[in-house]
Amino acid sequence: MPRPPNASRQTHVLLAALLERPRVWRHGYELAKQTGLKSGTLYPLLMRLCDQRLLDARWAESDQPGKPPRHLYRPTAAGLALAREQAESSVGISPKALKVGA
Amino acid sequence: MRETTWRRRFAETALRVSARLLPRERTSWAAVMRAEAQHIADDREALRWALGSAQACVVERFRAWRVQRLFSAHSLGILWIVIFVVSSAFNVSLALAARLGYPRVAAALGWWMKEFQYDRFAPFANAMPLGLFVLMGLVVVLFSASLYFNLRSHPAAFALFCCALALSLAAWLFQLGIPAYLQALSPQHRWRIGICFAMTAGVLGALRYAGAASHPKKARLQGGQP
Repeated sequence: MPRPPNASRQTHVLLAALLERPRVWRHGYELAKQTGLKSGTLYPLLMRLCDQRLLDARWAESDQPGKPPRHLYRPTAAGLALAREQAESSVGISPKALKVGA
Repeated sequence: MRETTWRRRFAETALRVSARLLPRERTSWAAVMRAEAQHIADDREALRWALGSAQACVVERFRAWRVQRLFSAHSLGILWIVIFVVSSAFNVSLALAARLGYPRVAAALGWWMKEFQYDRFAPFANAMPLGLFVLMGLVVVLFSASLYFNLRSHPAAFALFCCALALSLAAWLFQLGIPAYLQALSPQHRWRIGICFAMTAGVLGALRYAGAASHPKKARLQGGQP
């Protein structure tokens, strides 16, 4: 039986991280630091969530002089709904257990 | 000004090279990964990030292939072209090695061929005109270009493959006219090459016919019908 979309633990972790500050635009490195996901896992997830319109993405000028613009992400309303749904279904599981590499 | 370390350079190279692997609909993500890596101050961390991003590019490439079905006509076509690239490169390398007087190299290459005998092959290589080497080299280039375009799903791949195949056939027919060729290679070997050409021409013809059938307007134009 095929697995439902966005059911992986990594997706749960990412959505949980995004749910913490849903209005804030976050960059990939920050999300990686927070979730413990490596870029090799994070980027395919970000791509897929953007494809499904669960994430909004935009370019923003860097706050560091001489650096290129940075790609930022924020959950959409649908993304937030999914993140909340997943957070409710994982009640009782400690955040440490949810964290990748824990 | 801060000096660029080898780690930083390697990270940039890894990102640049892996960006080419991304499928067409994902190419914009290459700039995202590159920009993010440039914001990481620590070189070691930036390199780790870049290698992870490269892994993501590879994953996306494989995912795109899987979506398009690995055993599709397209992937079989790629395999077929790879065989032609390898085989034509092998032929020209073997002939060049024998012609330039590298018997060990020629014998090592000939080890892959059944019933290969250097003593019988060398006169054939020496009898080959230089133009034929150029033609064989061109065939390798055209097959490789066809492979490149096929991997990128570019329509030019088909035309390039047909050109390469036609030139390859011309080169082989020319070789058949060299008496030493008949001494160098067994009749079975010649038959196998002939059958391979005939089969490939048949597949190409069928593909062309199928393509025309799926585009009736184009077929009408090609057939000269109103």
